[in-house]
Amino acid sequence: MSRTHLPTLLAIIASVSLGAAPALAQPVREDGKATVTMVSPMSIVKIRDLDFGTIYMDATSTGGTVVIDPTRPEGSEISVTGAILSGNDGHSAKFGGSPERTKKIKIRIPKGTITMTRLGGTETLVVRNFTLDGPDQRTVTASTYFDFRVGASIDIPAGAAEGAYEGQFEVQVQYP
Amino acid sequence: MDQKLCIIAACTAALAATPAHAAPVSNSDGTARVRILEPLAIFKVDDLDFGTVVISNTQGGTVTMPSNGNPRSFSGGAEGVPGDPGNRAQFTVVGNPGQEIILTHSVPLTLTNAAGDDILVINMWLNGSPLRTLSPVDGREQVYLGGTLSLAADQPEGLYEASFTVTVDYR
Repeated sequence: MSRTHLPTLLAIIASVSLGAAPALAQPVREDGKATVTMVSPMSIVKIRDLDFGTIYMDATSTGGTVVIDPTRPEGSEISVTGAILSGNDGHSAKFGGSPERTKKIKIRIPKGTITMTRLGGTETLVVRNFTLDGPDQRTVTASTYFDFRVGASIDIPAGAAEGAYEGQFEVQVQYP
Repeated sequence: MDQKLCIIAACTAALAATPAHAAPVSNSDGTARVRILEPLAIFKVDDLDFGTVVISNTQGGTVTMPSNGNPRSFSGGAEGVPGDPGNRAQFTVVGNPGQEIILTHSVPLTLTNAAGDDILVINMWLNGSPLRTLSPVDGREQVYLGGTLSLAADQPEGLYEASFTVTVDYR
């Protein structure tokens, strides 16, 4: 008599899908900084304009140069070269202020040239080489008045038209 | 006559034993799956910088750095120094392209200078939803933060600072 042996095969394959890895991931973090720099207000006022004064030249003059040097004492700032005469009535520009707090400032004057135009006309003269009466970085004291002078040079060409010439320039005080 | 009958009975019995063929087996296939994600990383590109601010000595004010890249705005006695306009904070998140992330961040209470003076932080915020999707192309997301500070009249001069933390997690 034969025996039959029925092998019983039950295969259970579990379907395993891991949840998306995020469940196992750690949060990551990074630090940042918030910053602000506070400064107290300070204003600068103009005390006087830059004035090259009166220049005399005759019809045959070959022209000349006028220099206002703010490092020289007031009253002796003007120097003239060439075939022109100065009436010695010019002066450097002067600006002043009084800061609330002692601080370091940086004075910025024009680096290049500016143009003056004749009033009532179109002729121009070029102002160049702006200079300060000292270093452009200085420390100013709280509640104490301070000022600084600005000078420059102009070249007067032969045959320059008679009249008053005017131009604008900007001076900036940066702090800190 | 009797012998003939026996033979037939034996044959039948033999047939019954035949099912040596195994019964059909049911097979089922399953799939094993795993999802490996690139590790999530966050890098700071820029701090939150409100720049340089001038405050009146008689009137307080606020300075706001927007999170959308626009310039600062001011109220009350506060003004900005144009030469130092500041910038919003920027962080870069890098991870699996197309994956969703959740951002959270701390808000410091105050900014402090070396002398111990404080500036109050009114608020800080993200440039949009805290729930984002990393770019499907390179797995990155740029995160920006802005904020508002409250400045007292005559706030003492100086550089004020505080730290904050931005946290990112896969959703």
